[in-house]
Amino acid sequence: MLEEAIGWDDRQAGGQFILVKDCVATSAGFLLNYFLKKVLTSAEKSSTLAPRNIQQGPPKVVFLALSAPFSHYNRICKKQGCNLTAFRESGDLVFAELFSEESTWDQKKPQNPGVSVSVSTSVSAGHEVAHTCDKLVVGVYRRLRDMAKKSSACGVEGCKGTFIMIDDLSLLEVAAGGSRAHVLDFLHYCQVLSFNSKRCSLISLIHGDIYSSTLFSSFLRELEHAADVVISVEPLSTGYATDIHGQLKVVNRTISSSTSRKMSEVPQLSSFGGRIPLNTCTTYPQDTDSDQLRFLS
Amino acid sequence: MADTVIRLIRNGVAVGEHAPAAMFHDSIDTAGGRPAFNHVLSSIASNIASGVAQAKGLVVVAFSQNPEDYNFLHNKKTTELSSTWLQIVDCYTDPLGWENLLSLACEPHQNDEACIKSIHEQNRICSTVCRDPLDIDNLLTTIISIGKGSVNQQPNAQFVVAFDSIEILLRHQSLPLVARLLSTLRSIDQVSSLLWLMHSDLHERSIVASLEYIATMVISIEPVVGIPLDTLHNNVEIGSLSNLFVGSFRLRQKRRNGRVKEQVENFRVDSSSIKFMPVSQVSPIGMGKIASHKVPFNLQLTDKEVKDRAKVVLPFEHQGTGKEVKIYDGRDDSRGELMLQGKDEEKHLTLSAFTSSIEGQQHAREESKVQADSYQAHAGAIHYIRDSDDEFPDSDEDPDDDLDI
Repeated sequence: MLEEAIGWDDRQAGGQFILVKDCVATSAGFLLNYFLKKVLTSAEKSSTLAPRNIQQGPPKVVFLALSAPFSHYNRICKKQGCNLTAFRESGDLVFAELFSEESTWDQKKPQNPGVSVSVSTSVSAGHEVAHTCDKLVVGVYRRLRDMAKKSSACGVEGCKGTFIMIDDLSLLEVAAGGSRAHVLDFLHYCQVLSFNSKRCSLISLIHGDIYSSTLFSSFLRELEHAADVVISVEPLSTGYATDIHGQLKVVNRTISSSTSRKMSEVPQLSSFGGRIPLNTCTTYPQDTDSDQLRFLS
Repeated sequence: MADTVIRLIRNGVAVGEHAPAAMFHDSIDTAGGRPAFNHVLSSIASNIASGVAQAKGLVVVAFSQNPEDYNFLHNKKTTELSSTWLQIVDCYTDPLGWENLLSLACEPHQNDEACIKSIHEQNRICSTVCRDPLDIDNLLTTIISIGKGSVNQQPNAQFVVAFDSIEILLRHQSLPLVARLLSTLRSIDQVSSLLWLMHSDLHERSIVASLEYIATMVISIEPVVGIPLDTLHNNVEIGSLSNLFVGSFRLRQKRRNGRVKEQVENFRVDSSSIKFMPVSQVSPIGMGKIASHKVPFNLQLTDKEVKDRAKVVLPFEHQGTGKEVKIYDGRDDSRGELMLQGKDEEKHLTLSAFTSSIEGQQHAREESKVQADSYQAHAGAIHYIRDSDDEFPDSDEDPDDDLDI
């Protein structure tokens, strides 16, 4: 029922931005695996009836990896019963390792991530996009855009639209030469981008404690303003416990007409206790008396 | 208070003044900023559409929402105005010109127009993609030309300009440039009024303040702490996060004569609308019946209990029966009587001394002396005789030296 708190139980409109915020004490990497599996497998179920044309269909997930390689995610997802390699071969998953030289996400493109964008002279001088520091960001966006243009209309019914997942925004900031504005711009463009006339959804992880000082807090706050759902992963507020590894707080800032029906039941603040066993994650409500959500996966 | 804002924007610019400007600002603790802004915007749109507003056109500069999301501004009322009264300046799809840059890189012979017009016929939304909206001059000329288009180039017709976010402008441009844009728009004759939305917690106080100076109305959307649980959903716990959709709409309005008026109203965001209610309906936390939800015992008194409590006389409370209060001070009653007797005599003495002043001062003085002597015999007095006059305390010596404390 984490989906219920996020608003996934309803018709997914696309264009949702889920921000996952963690800290050193509790890493939220498990949530990325969880979402990856969820999105890939749900899409698979919905598309089993109609045989999909692999060449034309838009990818379900575009994963921009900065902190861990494909093999890392592949290994964890395999334990959870989800074969990432198969999804990658079928085109459902596009996996891009931004820091590695051999970017494997689009075989038809030249394989250097810092792609050189030819700057036209007609672009105004005060608005120099192809500055060295954001070449990477614009380059990545260009690839996403090309991919979106190529994916022609072959609508898969029940498809939630393409998800762009970024496994570490803090490292994306590093990749953009430390420019937070470029990261925010990139995320804006990702949200504007639409694959197959469906707007992209965005799931990204950020380390909240990096930006805890007041000097940098505005970046995090701006992300929170931009996000529809903020999931905070924290250590257990009551202290260390061997079997419970932390708690999740979900703040859903959107009221859409589809979720309104459930407004009386679903609070916009939900918190979960979370357990991370070896190969899956289990979350459940902290307070059995309240109507807070109970979730087991 | 939202009605006040809507009315002032509807009335538009006064003669010899700049256009009224409304600044909406919110923070991360509330999600009501955009619904409140959209509520005001849609009311203005319906006012313009029905022809009661001063303005004849509306230009929405979309930075944070897709132009298609502004479909709600079209209402069902039949408009006598032209179909182009609502114009969206699309700064959302390509705020930094990346799209333009990349398509130019691919197809260098594309047209280099500053803006591309696209009309979504099915949505009746007339949106114009603004190329390079971060160039303030370009944005300004685009807004003005589109605004003139919205009123069909009539020279005297006016239009409303609304920015749905100025965050990206403030992120990439300096404050003076943004302030210049807003001030210029206010001072243009054809602009009837101006409104914008921003997140004040992302900026320094000085930046917010300088933009507040430009605005004639500042609307703060703040979370309300202590909304009674009845008005919320039962399962929402008290806390700042739980009040995301409930908050206060605080309007600070600068009058022309310099007076500043502040009004507060509460709001609650529902699925499709935003509802406003007076503050009095929502009592602060800790008052009334709010706390009684949480405690298992009764904190309140009934009227009967209040009356009964008032009747209880506490042991040391002054009884007030008319008699003189005698408080036992540890001395014998007989001595106390003596003291009182002495006091009576003293009273008599003063009275007699007063009456005798008419008969003769001398006689009275003698009598009073006698009476005083008799009084002194009854009442105690301290007599002190110093041992010797020539014994002065030694200056070097501590007078309290012999005290053994």
